[in-house]
Amino acid sequence: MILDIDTVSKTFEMHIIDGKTVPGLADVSFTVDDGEFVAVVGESGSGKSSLLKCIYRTYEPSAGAIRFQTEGGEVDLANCSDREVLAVRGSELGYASQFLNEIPRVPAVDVVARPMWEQGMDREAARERARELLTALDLPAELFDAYPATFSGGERQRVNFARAIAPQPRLLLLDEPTSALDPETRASALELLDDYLPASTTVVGVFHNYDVVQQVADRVVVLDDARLQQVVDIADYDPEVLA
Amino acid sequence: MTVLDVANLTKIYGDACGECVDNTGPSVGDNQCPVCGSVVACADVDFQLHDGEVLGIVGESGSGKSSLAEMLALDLDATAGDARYHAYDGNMLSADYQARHELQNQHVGMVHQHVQDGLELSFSGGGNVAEKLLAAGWRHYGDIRDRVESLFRETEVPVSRMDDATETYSGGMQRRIQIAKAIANDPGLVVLDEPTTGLDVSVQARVLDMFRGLQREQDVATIVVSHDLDVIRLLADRTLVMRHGRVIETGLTDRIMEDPHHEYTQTLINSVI
Repeated sequence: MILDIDTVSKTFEMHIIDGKTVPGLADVSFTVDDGEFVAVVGESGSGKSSLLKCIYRTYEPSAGAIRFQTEGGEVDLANCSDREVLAVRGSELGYASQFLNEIPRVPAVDVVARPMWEQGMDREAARERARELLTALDLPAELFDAYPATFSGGERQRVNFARAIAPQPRLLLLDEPTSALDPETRASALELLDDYLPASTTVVGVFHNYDVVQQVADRVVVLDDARLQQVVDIADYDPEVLA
Repeated sequence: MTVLDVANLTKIYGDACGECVDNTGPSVGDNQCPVCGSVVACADVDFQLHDGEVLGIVGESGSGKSSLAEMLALDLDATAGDARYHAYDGNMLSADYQARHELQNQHVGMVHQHVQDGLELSFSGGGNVAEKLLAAGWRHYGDIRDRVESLFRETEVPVSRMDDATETYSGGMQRRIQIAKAIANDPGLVVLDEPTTGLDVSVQARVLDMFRGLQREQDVATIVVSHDLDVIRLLADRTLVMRHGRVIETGLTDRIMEDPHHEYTQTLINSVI
């Protein structure tokens, strides 16, 4: 087991509306095995993104534990120090958010290469690998040195996806990484997950598209109204019954 | 490794009455002492900074963040507090004149909000940077010239402008010269005070990206003070939020931006246009 999500809850206290509390996640528990691909599904607002953000600690869980078996030992991402989170993010934990949020006026190839050179890879070698990834994602070569701010939604999403997988993290969190891609490009992206990431990579990904879930997932975590509804093997997953 | 360990850092402007700190802060909603009228710019600030880390300090005008930056760059005397810098024995805030200059010249680089605080505008850009090298004991003309040239390249200022007066440089170039000067002696700590204020939007991104590249390459511990959340978001790993001279919230920068806890932080995040 690489990840143990243990009765995790997240509530938001909104001071702006008189301290009203909004539930994000309530008592969610499940475990993830090494090398497993877990798809998180559920309706909009069911807590899928909140779950990924709690694992990445962009949201600070209100209760519970998130035990990640890192190469250096167990780290409880819900309760460890900010510095421990930064160390794990820099080496073993990757996250592709729904939206690309990068420094302006940095060429696409450098956006993708940066996480690799920040981990010590030679700059040119990192750029070369970034170009290979962007090529595999069918991004036109003339865009490699352009600024992503001017890109279409689908182009930006490819840059964001390439950046997240580039350093080959042991645990990868994907938040609807292919939502803006056409079927052909989506197929390239999913193929790349298979080809580029080592088989030992563990992925927890939020997906809306049933075909994608069917294609990539080993197990499915179903969330409903901030609660865990069910965890099932992909063979037993029937979206009609569960939705 | 801890580069800087700050405890109880406090700055009071005026003849403090002894109760100023208790009488001010977010719970009171003001930073001016109602008893004696002194202004508590910041009080009881604690944090640690590790090598290679970028710490953001964000808050509105008057929250005390610039006073904090100036004290850490040893440009402003602290009223109270303790700051341990790894290469200095003791509290660097109470360093004597000579030790203070040595720290400023060799260990702590400062990029000022107002260019005239950081540069002599009638001097050449190269001269401004060379001055920092001279202060650190560089003597050989050729070596100094080579070092200044390489700093110009690193900070993306045209070497051909090296001998022109700094006042003829654009705002973005002046900011880059300040950065070149701040990093000239490979400091262990760099303090940036509002690094993009007064620059065109088109220039801001270049300056930030250039600095971020240098910072990561050299692994230098950095404190970035800004009222601009985008600057903090793009540079800082962790962030302190200040209000009325106090730190009201601390956390990972993305956590502060997406899951702000304190009422004021929520207002701040929701105020971005």
